[in-house]
Amino acid sequence: MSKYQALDGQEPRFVASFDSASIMVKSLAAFLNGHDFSGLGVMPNSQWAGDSLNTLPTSVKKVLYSKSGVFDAIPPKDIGKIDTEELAKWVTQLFPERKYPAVMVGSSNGALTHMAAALNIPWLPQTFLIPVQIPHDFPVDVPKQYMRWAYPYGEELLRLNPGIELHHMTDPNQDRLHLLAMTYFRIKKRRLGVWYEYFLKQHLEPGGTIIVNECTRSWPAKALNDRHFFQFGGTGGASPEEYYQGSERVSEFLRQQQSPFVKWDAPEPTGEYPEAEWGFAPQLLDDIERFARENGFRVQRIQFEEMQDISGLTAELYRNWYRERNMPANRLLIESFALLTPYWALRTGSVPYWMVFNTAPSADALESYLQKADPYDQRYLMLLSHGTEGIGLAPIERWQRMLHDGQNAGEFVGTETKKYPYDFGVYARYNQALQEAVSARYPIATMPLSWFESFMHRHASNYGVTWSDASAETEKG
Amino acid sequence: MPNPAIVVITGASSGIGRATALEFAKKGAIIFLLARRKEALDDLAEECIALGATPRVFPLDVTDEEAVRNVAQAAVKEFGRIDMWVNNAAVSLFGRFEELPGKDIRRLLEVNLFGYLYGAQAVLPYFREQGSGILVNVSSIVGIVGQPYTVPYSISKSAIRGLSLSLAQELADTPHIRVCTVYPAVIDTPIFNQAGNLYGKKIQAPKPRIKASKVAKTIVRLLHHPQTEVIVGGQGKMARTARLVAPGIFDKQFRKNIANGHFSEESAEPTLGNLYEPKPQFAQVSGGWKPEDEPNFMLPTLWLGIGAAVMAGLAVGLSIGRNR
Repeated sequence: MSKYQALDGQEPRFVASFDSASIMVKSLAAFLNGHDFSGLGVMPNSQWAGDSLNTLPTSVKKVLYSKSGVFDAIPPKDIGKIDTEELAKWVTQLFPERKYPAVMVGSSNGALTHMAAALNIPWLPQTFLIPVQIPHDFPVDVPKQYMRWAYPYGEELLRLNPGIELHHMTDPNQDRLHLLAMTYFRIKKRRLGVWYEYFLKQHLEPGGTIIVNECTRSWPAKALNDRHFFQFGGTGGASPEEYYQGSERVSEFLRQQQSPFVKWDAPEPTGEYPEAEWGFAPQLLDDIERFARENGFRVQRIQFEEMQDISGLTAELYRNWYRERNMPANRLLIESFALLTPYWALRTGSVPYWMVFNTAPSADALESYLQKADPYDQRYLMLLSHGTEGIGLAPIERWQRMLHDGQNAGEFVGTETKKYPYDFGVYARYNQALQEAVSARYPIATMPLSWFESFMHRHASNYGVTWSDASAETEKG
Repeated sequence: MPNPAIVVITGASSGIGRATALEFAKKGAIIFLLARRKEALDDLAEECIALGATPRVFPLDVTDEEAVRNVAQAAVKEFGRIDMWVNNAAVSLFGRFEELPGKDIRRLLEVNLFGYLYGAQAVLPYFREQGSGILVNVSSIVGIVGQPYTVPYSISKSAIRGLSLSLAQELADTPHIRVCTVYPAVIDTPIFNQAGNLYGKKIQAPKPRIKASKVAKTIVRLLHHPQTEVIVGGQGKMARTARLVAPGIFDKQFRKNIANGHFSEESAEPTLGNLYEPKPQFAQVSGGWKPEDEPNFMLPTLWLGIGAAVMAGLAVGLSIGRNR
């Protein structure tokens, strides 16, 4: 039983170490504790380990990658042992015990992780991934089979954990390797719950601010009941229509993967619901407002639709903050998915720009930011490799072009470009490689909350982000 | 450390600064020469070129914060980096503390201390960007043991020690940015020839005097082997130890030694020396104090007295230890 509990700060058995939220929260917590977080927390941190990994044949690497998550996936028979509040307990134990002027709560997002780091405040995620082992020989391109099989387990999880909603998702485009061994249960907290409430009461200064991260991104999904959704596909290179209705690109992709299908036979969506990985389930806001009212805290909301809307804003936040401190602010560190490092971004005086994935929409958003922003003299890119040449994957040549645009020399950090997107060595190398690539070292300084709020007030709307005072809205309403 | 090294030296027109520039010139360094006297710097630049170096001349007063900052900017603009910044410019003012005008004390601190602060603040942003760099602060042994009749100078040199040690602690998480402090003992430089003097007697450099080139070589060595603190001269090392072990005796003897050794019997008209305005003469390394045959290390009566006291102290200490 104990392996499903967050005893003495230990990670409960069902935390997915490869999950964006858990990596972001761990790397932020490491930062608040004064150190970096490398190798996604599971890999050795060295050039050598990365090189060794990359010498393996691609087929072996694929097998290793698909099996890598198996240790995190729980057997379905153990669903009844899961108390999702153990995740909240685990998260709250990661952060240093001190008083904070503000705490973030809500959607997972790499750029928001950087915002929290600059403010030196914790972030309590709304969404967690619980990977569940599936029977052998499940056909990855038949989502209905995943949905049907997992339904009773999902219902059991929801019955035992009333404060959450469940977004069961499969994405044979981007998570193909993992889908051979598991399926993804993403749970979203609808209530703060006892551990988050306890943490906030203990560690938020009197009258402190709860910053709610609300990514309004939705995705078509099938509602199995009011708390149980099945989402097919996910944010990345392909559109929801392609997932649900098929396209030439889908047929081509399936042919390349030697799949017997030309399109996926996905369950008919019943509507648009918060995106499983990144989207915000709004019920949590009501609970936060109730909690804030009862305890005299302020609530500020950050709302945005696209995950990368907040990336350009965060980059500009950092840039302004660096300039305020007489720092050059001319170095851009482009990160992708879980390859992010709040600690070294600040220590090297780099402006972080976080991308959701390594796909064309991510590259487009980055490109549009670069066109809008003052030029950067140096560009560095930590590029995600996830072992699938999925639909919409941005080819390495595009990344190369974006790094070397004629005026600026750029550099990949820890990436072996020829191996992309099978460059799993990057996970072992990125942390060390960045330290070697950028010699600059700056002290860590805390951004004052008032400075941050004034910046958000002035600039958020330029990036399609809404920064608002929830209590003011409530009063008006 | 790249070759050639890019070095900035303040107070380069004479004394330790000039000697350091020439020593770096022998290594083919790129040297930014800072001092108030343009002509003195131009002459020095020629000497540096003859030795194979690439000098750049910046006539300025180190109390001009912006001018100092511009040098750092210019160095990085032209050569891409700065490897070492040597804060060295200093003036001196002799006299009994009670008789020294406040404004002159302030001016001395502006040169000797604020000049260093401006230098450090100018170069550190570039060191941070590079992730490396060596800041050398030339202090003095009097910054550790004190010295009578030059209280403002001693204050400035102690403050420089405080600056160095504290800044080094602040930068401890950037291991390739180093702050080194050099504590010369009595060096044969024109500082004594140019010092302000309200003491009433003529200043001389007390024995034993050390050649400025010895300090210069120490500073050059710091480029590859940075050390937090270096005392140049056996006399200085001994003074520090003696002050630690027998402070009472040391202070008493040192006062006598300075009163007798630092001033001649000849009376002198009050002068503010080069405190506000540079003197055209003395643009040289040596102040002409050290005869060629003078050894670098001597044991005058003071040291013998202190040595005896130390030995006695140790003997008493040991006997107490044994009898416990």
